[in-house]
Amino acid sequence: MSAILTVDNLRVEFVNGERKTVAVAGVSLSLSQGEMLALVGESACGKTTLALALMGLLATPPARISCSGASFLGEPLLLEKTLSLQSLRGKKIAMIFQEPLSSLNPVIAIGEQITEGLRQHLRMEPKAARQRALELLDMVGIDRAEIIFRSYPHQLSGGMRQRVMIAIAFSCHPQVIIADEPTTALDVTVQAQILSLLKKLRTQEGVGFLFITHDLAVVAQEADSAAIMYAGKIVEVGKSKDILLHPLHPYTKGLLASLPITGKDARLPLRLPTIAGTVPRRDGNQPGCAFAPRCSEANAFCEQQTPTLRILDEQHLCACWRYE
Amino acid sequence: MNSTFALVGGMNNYLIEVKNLGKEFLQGGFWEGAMRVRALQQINLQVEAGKTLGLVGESGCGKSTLAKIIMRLEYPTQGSVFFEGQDIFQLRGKEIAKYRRQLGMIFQDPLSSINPRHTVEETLAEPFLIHSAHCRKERTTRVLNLLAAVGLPADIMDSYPHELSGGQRQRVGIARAIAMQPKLLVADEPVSSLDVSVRAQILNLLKDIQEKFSLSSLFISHDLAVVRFMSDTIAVMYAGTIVEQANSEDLFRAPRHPYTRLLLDSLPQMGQMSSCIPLKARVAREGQGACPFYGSCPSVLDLCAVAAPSLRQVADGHFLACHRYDTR
Repeated sequence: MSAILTVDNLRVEFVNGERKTVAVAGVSLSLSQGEMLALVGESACGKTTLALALMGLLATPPARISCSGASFLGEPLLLEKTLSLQSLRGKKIAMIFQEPLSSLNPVIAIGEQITEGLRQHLRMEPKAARQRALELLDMVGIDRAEIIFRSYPHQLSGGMRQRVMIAIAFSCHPQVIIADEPTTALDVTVQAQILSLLKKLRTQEGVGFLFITHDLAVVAQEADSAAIMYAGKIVEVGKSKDILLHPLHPYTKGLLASLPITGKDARLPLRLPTIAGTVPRRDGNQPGCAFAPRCSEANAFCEQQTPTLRILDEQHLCACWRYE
Repeated sequence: MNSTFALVGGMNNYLIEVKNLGKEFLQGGFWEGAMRVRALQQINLQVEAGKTLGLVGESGCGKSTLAKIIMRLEYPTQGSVFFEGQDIFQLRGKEIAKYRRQLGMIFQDPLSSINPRHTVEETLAEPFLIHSAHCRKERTTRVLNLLAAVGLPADIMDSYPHELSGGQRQRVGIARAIAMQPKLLVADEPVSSLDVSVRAQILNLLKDIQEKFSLSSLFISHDLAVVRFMSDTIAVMYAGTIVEQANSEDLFRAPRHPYTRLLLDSLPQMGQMSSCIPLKARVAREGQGACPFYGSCPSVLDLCAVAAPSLRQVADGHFLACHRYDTR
């Protein structure tokens, strides 16, 4: 499997007058065909900004994007020039958003929203586009596709709307789908259905997924590899199994420990272990490891020098001074 | 019907007792006839003093409607709710305020349930303004005590909700709920909008507070892991009815209702595919005699299409509404 999408040292800053916030502070990643890479982190850690930067959906200004180099299907990808991504967006790289009700247009029928991409990118005739849209609806498991085609978003349930979003994302046969918390707003039973649908797309069509989530259980079940993000940086990356069973970074360990267990025979603790404090806001000038103030194993050195990602095991990278 | 009465059993030992509760909403019907939607049917629940009852179910199953009825924010169309043996819908005038004082409610999204134009101090002082006649100084002291109880720094008093993080906001929500030293805490999805690491902090805080003030609570969530962590007893709701109720460890070790099993099986787990089956017909509509889970159940009997099963005791403290266990 060769990488279809690689990004090297992507930075996104937001400048608001005198204030500068570094949302993504030098992230590198690569995604292979049919792979599911999970990007895990708390709110405000920069994961959505990263996704929007990859899609060219950030307004510049206030955003400032810089990147040492990115490629998509062997061609260079100019992430700094958001306009240049317009022909790829929705065609070769598609996105599924978290909340389908706010990302679908409420006053346009479902059918028109699906066919829009087909007509724009593939120059399909209205009739052919309609036919393809019905096939897509069928593929994502919506029966009575004819009726849904004419319906409006508010008439559908949450699970149905998310299926429509997936149909739209998949309409032009993209190579990469960026899914930003696609199941967070859904019930567990619906979540299971959506995840199995995504798995089908991945194994049958070879779509690469960048799967953004904060749900570690979903990562455990679905993802091939995982990247843990903290304060704009990837602090640990590797095979999802390695990360979840043998976490190296103190932050990953803390996240895993704070989950209530669901296994049938598991014994519950009386209190859940927690990570003290909250994610700090970074303006890019503070020295040291961003996690040091919350880390139980930090020493004076951690507060002065910023650790970089290093290969510790086979395909397991971690940015922590403990492993130097 | 007899079986449901057996369930009610010894009266007045419970802090709160929900009896035969039903709620119907009229939907649509501006030009055409309105459709009746049964949000709740035949609900029987009890919360014992000092214990936590967990309520699990998917969105739209009626969990929040039940919470609202218990808070006396909605009226039931059938049955009633008894607080310390007294029917809460018979209360009048000052009694209602007195009743509400004994309940504290925590909402899902603290940003939308706290007034954005009030500072933390104003928000937390409001219950004292309404329910008791303290002077200003006294109120401030009490607000400071509340902040300390939920682990917030005192200098947060003058902040507005938008200046706080999600976890801090939910702490303010909890502080407001316990301001009047209630007997019962109703928590409607209190952690589902929070991050994993913050969630653990808030769950610990809720447990501590419950112990410290010896509170009972009704804990509503769709997250089974969270409910299991918090509750002594768990009731599983589906389409407005309770389908299974048991001690929380029993429910996880030996779930009996097909829906409970489905819920447990849909939880993602390390290295295995969670099972999923298509779910249909979430809301029971008028005129359907079948079991509400009929359309999605993997193991239906002929009887399920004709009659809805009622909740029966199948083991000590384990209640179940499924025909499969009636026949055995």
